[in-house]
Amino acid sequence: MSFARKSLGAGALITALFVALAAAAQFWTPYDVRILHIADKLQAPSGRHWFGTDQLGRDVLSMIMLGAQTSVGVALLSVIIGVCIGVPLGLLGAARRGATDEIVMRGNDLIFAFPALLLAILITAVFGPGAVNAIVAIGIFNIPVFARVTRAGALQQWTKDFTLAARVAGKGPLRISWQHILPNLLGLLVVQGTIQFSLGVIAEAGLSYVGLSAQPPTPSWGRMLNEAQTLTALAPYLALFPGFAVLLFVLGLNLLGEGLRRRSGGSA
Amino acid sequence: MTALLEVVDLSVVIGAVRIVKNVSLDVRAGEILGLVGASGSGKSMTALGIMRLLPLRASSTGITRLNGATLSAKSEAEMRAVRGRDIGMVFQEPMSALNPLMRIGDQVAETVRSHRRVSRAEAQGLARDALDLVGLRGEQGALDRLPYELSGGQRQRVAIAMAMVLSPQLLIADEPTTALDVITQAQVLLLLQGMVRTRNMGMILVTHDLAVIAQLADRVAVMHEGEIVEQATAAEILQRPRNAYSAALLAASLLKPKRAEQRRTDAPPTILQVRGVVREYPRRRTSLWHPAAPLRALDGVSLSVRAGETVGLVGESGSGKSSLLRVILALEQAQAGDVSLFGETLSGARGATLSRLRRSIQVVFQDPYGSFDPRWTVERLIGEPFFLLDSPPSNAERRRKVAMVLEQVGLSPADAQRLPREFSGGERQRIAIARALITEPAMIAFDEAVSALDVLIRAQVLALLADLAERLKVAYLFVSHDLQVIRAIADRVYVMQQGRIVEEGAAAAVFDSPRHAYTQALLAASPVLAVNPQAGA
Repeated sequence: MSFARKSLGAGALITALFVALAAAAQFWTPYDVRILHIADKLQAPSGRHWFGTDQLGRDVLSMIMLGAQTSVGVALLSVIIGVCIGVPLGLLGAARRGATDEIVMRGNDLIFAFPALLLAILITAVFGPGAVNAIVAIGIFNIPVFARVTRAGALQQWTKDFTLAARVAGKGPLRISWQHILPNLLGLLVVQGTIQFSLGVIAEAGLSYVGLSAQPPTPSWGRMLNEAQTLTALAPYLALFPGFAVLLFVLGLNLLGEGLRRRSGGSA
Repeated sequence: MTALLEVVDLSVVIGAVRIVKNVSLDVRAGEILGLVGASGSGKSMTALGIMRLLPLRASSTGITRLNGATLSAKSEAEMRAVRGRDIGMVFQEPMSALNPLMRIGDQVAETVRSHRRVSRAEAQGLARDALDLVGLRGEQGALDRLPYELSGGQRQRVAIAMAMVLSPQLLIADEPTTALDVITQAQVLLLLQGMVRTRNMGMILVTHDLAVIAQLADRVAVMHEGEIVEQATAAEILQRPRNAYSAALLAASLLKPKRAEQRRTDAPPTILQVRGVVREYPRRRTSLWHPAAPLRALDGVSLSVRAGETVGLVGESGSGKSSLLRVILALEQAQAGDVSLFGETLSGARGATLSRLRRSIQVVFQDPYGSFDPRWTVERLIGEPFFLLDSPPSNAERRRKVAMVLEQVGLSPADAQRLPREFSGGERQRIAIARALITEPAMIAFDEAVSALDVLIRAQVLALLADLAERLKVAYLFVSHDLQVIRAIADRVYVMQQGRIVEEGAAAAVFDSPRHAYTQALLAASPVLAVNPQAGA
């Protein structure tokens, strides 16, 4: 089995595992984390609590599952924001060229010029911290990424003769973009989407670590890491499990992206 | 006389496929062996197999001997000593054969210095001699020039100089002139021939073009599906091919000039009229104070096409043929002049008028691979120009029309649900023709539509076009750099040079008694396959 196929298989498996955990948490978790069992606090991993309990006696496995939900939700929605705004902008720039292209792409440069965390702090400072604002902040960052990838791919497609054939058939640039250019970019965009998704997971963990994403009591991996920090000597597993969750999920997404890229044979 | 190069039972295998099957051939000193065949017949792989330069995944068996020394038994290190010193090689693409960052003198000298312990000055001296030999003398062939400063023909001469600098006994040239213009091609072929004769070396000329073979080769080996199907002297093969495949290849290469139509008393009406078209492209600014003079691709071009007529437009690459086509198709705007179709101005037309006019002029492009969206089915691709109709046909009607044009171009209606990648190059060009026919246009423009096809396929497509013109009374504007193709299909010809039409007239008149010096040069340079009574019958 080639590396590409192994990578694709392993990546898909890990990603599916986390998505399944997140989905399952919607209906069932081993323990209800809204109820505190102070008496059971800081228990090491055992048969009753596989991943142990935290300083408030909440089951860490249940927290991880709910954290996966936050993580997947924030990353997915921010990718969707990036795709919905960035892709049309990229298509427009490539189709119209000239002044439109300049305005669109320089606007993207403007967003790119901001450090991601700074923008997130800016947004949360104005609108207050929370999952929705984290989604918006990360989503804004995905816009120029998707716009650039789309524009580059679209420019290449525009050099093909079939776009000329479509123009001879009387179609305008926007219709050609929709009917011919976009479908041929889907592979490219799926790969980029996977990469942005993994960056979104990291960004969400980072933002919640500094308290700018989902607010308590909604569990999130970043905040679990933050809270575990003061208890490292006492209960190292508290930091270990959410840390591994971020690591494994991001690794899975990257393997999936790399596998998809190699399979499509492109150099995305 | 013993052979300079002997190849016995050479086979090349890639994966599970045998690309070259038991090829045996030999080349004597002072002899040019032509290796011909369609693309994919294994001729390039044979050449690479002799040099032991096969791709990593490929493996070869068989014996090759050069002057008695067995090449196939040599180690890779020993082979490196042979390459360049005993066997020189010239490839097809002059643009990528040279290192763009290296001065041409150094590139030629590199071959010397990797084989002999010589000083830099000595190597440069040998490089100078080699460049002189290939006709790059004085200013033109200055050792410190960089590849981007040279034309395609000059680059190919540098590549030949690199192959010739150590006076190898054998030269392998793989399609050395395919990427060059006819006039340059003639010069390069003459150069290669002269070197082989004066230096008594052997040469293998790999090509798909029988006309080039006819001009140069002493003996010919015809390859088909990895095997040599016939090997004989050039005269024999061109006069009396014994193998069925060589005969077919020869017949397909002999494009017969189109017979002049009976002059009709009622001249058909003019459908396309181009008057004084000027198209300029902006050039990069080089001065802060003055804007750069634009590049004038079309300089006052006028031409006309009558109903049902086939008009040829010939010229070298860069002469403005494609720009003219784009202006005619209203894909680009001209700076001056106008294009009219049925007396209505096409240039500047918009919306419904433009759609209506576009319906009657369709196009077939050069590249059979790039001209289709790979994700669309044939039915959807062919139906795309229906977009031009005010009331597009219903699904059933649409299907019926697509089936009809598919049959007209010799494909099956069942092909409608397949994807373009399932078709060969020739079939794709048929699909492109079907797409052009769907709106029942009065005229179809062809942009080098057969130049990417193998000779056999090219002959079939040209026959199809002649047949369609006859049956459907559609006019063609046929753009090509290949004079033989134009001669085979056109009634009337325009010759273009540097953005101007330099000569026009009936095809027979232009080809038989060209008036303009440029037309004369083009005709003199283009290799001609002599028509003989048997094959021409």
